[in-house]
Amino acid sequence: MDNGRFELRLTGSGGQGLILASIIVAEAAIAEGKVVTQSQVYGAEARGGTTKAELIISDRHIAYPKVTDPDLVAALTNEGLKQYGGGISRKTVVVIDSSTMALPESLNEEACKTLLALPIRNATVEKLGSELGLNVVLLGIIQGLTEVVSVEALRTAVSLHVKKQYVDLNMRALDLGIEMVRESATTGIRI
Amino acid sequence: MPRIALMQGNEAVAEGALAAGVRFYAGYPITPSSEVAEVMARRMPQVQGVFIQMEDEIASIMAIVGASLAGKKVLTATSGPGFSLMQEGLGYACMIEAPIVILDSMRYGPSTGMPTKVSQMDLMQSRWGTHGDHWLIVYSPSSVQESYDLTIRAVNMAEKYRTPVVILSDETISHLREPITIADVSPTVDRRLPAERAGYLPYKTDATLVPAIANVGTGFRTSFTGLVHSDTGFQTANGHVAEALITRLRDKLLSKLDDIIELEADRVEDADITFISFGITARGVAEAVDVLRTRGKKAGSLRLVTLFPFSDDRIRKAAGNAPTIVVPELNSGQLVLLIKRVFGDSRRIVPLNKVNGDLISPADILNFVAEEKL
Amino acid sequence: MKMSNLRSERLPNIWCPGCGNGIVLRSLLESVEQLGLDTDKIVVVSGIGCSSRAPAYTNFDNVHTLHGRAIPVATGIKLANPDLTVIVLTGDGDSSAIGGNHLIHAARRDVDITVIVFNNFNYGMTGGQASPLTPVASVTTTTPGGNTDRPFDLVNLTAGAGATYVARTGIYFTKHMLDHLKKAIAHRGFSLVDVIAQCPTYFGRFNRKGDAGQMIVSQKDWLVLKSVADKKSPQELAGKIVIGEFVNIPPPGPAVVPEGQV
Ligand code: SF4
Repeated sequence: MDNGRFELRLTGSGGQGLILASIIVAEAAIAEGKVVTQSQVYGAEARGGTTKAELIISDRHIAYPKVTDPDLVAALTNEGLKQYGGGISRKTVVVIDSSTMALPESLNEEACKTLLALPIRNATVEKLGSELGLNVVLLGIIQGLTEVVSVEALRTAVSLHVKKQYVDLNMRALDLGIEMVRESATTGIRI
Repeated sequence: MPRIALMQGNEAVAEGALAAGVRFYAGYPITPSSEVAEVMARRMPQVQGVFIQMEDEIASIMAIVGASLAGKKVLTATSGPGFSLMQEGLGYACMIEAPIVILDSMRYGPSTGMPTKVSQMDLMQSRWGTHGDHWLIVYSPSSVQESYDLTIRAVNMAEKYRTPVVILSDETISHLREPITIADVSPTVDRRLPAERAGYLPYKTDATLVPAIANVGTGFRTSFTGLVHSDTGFQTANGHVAEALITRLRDKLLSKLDDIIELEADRVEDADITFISFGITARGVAEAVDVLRTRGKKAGSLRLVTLFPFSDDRIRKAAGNAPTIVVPELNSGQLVLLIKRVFGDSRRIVPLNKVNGDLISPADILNFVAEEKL
Repeated sequence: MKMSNLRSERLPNIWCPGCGNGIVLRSLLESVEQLGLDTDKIVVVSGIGCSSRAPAYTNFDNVHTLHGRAIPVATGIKLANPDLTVIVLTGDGDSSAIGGNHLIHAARRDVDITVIVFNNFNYGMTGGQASPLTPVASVTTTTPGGNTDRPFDLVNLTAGAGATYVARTGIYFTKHMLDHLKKAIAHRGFSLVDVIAQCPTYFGRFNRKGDAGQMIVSQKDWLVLKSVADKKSPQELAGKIVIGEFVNIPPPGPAVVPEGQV
C-alpha cells in the first residue's frame, strides 16, 4: 500500500465468486474507515466466461475509480490473466492458482514484484471437501499477503454474506487462505 | 444517525428516489439500467408503492406520466435505446407539465452499440431528443453518492417546477460500488396544489410561472392535452396563446438558474489550462489535475453537475481565465460544441474524445496534454 | 341525461355533422349517470384521433395523451390511485395499430380499466386512411384499390390476450350499447367494448355507404346479435359482424396475499 492506496484486481471465470469476494473486501475496508471503489466487467463474460473484479482501497477520496496500477492481481484462470493482466508492474504482487494454471512465462522478476503460485483449488477441495469456498480461501490469501484489511473485519464481512449453516465452513476457508500464505515459503512457488 | 452503505450507482438511484418519496416505478429492462428496476421490484412493496414492468419504454414513460397526474412521485430508468423510445413521452410531460424523473444510464451507441460499454453519447439527446422547443433539467452524477443525492434533488426539482428531470448517468457509475452516506431524512419538496375549486384554471400561473394543477381524482376536473392549451387546459390554435405558453415553459426554468444550476470549480482561478467535463469523465480529470499541479502545471477543472439548462454566462464566469480549455468527453464532441459557443475565439478550446468504450483515464489526459504541448 | 357531465362550454364539438362519435359519448355519459358513479373519481383518457377528442367534452378529469398511448397512461393512473374509475376512449387506429401492443398487454395484466373503441374502420382525423380494422376490399385514401389486408377482430384479439370483459355493439342499437358500456365500466378487471360507429365524411363517402342516417340504420342489416348468430351457419353470417357480450369472467375473490408479503 503506497501512499495510503491499494489497488486489487481479481480475475477468473464467471461463477467463481470473484465479484462477491471483491465486495467483501470492500465492506471490510469500509468498516475500518477506508474509502473504496469496486467495479467489475459486465455482460456475457459474467455468465461463465472470463471475468474480472476490481477494488481500490484508500485513506482518501478516490478520484479515478478504475484500477490502473494494481498492487495485487489474483488470477484463477490463465485466460483471466491474459485478458485482464494489464497494468502489472514492478510494484505488483501476482497470485495464480497452480492447481489449474501454468506458470506464465511473461511474468518473471522483471515484470512484477512477486509471482506466487499456490494450489488454491486443490487445497480448497482437499481441506474443505469441495470447491465451495474457493473465493473465501482467496480472501484469506489476500489478507495474508497484504493485511490491507484486518482478519477480524474480513470475518465479519464474510459472515454477513453467508447463510448461518455455512459460516463455519467459510471461516475455515478464510483461515486456510491465510495459512497458505504463511506456508507459501515451502508449498508455493515464489519468483 | 446517518449510515454508510456500499452501493452500486443504480441501487443509489433507486434508494435516492425512495428517500425522495418516489412511490411509483414503471420500466422496461435494459442494460445497464436494469438493477434500478430490480431494486424497485423488491423495495416498492415494502413502502406501499407500485412497481410495474411495462411492455416497452414508451409504455413505461407514459405510465409514470399517468401516475404522476394521479399525484405520485415517479421514476423510470433506461439506457440509450430505451431513452430514444421515451422521447415522445418526455415531450408530452414537458407540455402538460407532469413532474417525472428519468434515469438514462448511457451506454455506447448509436443503436444497440455496445450494451456493457460506457459512453457519454446521449448528452445532446438528453437536451434535444424530443421534437419541438422544450426545456427540462438534466443532472450528471459522477459518483455513487452523487447518484443518490442528485436523484433526490431531481425528484424535488421535478415537483417544484412541474417538469421532467433527466439523470444522465453512465454504465460505469451505474455499476460502480462506493460507500455512500445516507441521511435519516432527506429534504423533500411536494408539488403545489390548488386550494379552491371556484375559478380553478389549471394552467394559470403566478410570479413563479409554475402552475398549481390538481391531481386527477380530487374533484377539480382538469383537462390535460399535449396540444397547445390555454390556462383552462383546453386546446387552442391561437398563436398568441401558443407563444405565451412556450415562453412560460422556458422562463419557468430559465428564471430560476440560481436554484437549478450547480457547477463545481476546482483551482480554476490561476489555471493556465482548465478542463471542462461532466459525469464519470470528471473523475479522471480530477486525478490528472492533481498530477499536473504536482508537476508545476497550473491546471484546473470545471465540472458540470447540471448539464441543462446550460447557461453560457455562468459557465464563462465559473471557468476562470485559463487561455486553454480542454473538453474531455466519451463521444465525438458534443459538450465541446457548447463550450465553443460560450467562449467563441477568446480561448483555445481543445476537444479530447474517446470512443472505444473505455474511460478517459488520468494517464490519457496527461499524455494528451504532453502530446498536444498544452 | 344530466347535462352537468357534459362540458357545455366546450361545445360545439369539432366533429363533422353526422359523425358517430357524439352518439357514443352520449351513451358513455348516460352509463356513468345510471351507474351512479362519483364523478369526482372518474378519469377519462384518450389518445389521438377524432374520437380521442371526446374526453374534453366530459366534465370529468380528462387526459388527452399521445397517439396510441392512452392505455399506459390509464394504467399508471389506475395503479397510482385504485379508487378511480379509469375509462379510455380511443379509435380503431389508435387502439389497434399504434397502441396495439399496449392494448394486448393491458388485457393480459387485467388492469382494471375500461377501453371503449370508437370503431369507424378508418383514420378520420388525418383524412380517411386505412386502419387495422378496415374491412377487406374497403376503399380508403391509402387503399384506393380496396383494402387487401385482413382486419383484426378486436374481440378475439383482446379475448385471446386475457381480457376479462369483452363486448361489441353498434350505435344503432342504443340500448344494447348503453347496457354493454355499463357492464364494462362496472366490471372489475380489464374490459373492452368495440363500438361500431360511422364516419360519413370519409369511410362512408369512399365506400358509398350513404349519408350518416343511412349508415346508422344499415347497422341493423349487417350487425347480428350474438344470440341470433349462434344459431346461424358461417355462410349465413358472411359479411356480417356479430355484436353482444363475448367474455365476462367475474373477478376472483379478494386477492390472497402470501404470508410475509405486504
Ligand atoms: S372525420 Fe369522420 S370520425 Fe372524424 S369527425 Fe368527421 S365523421 Fe367523425
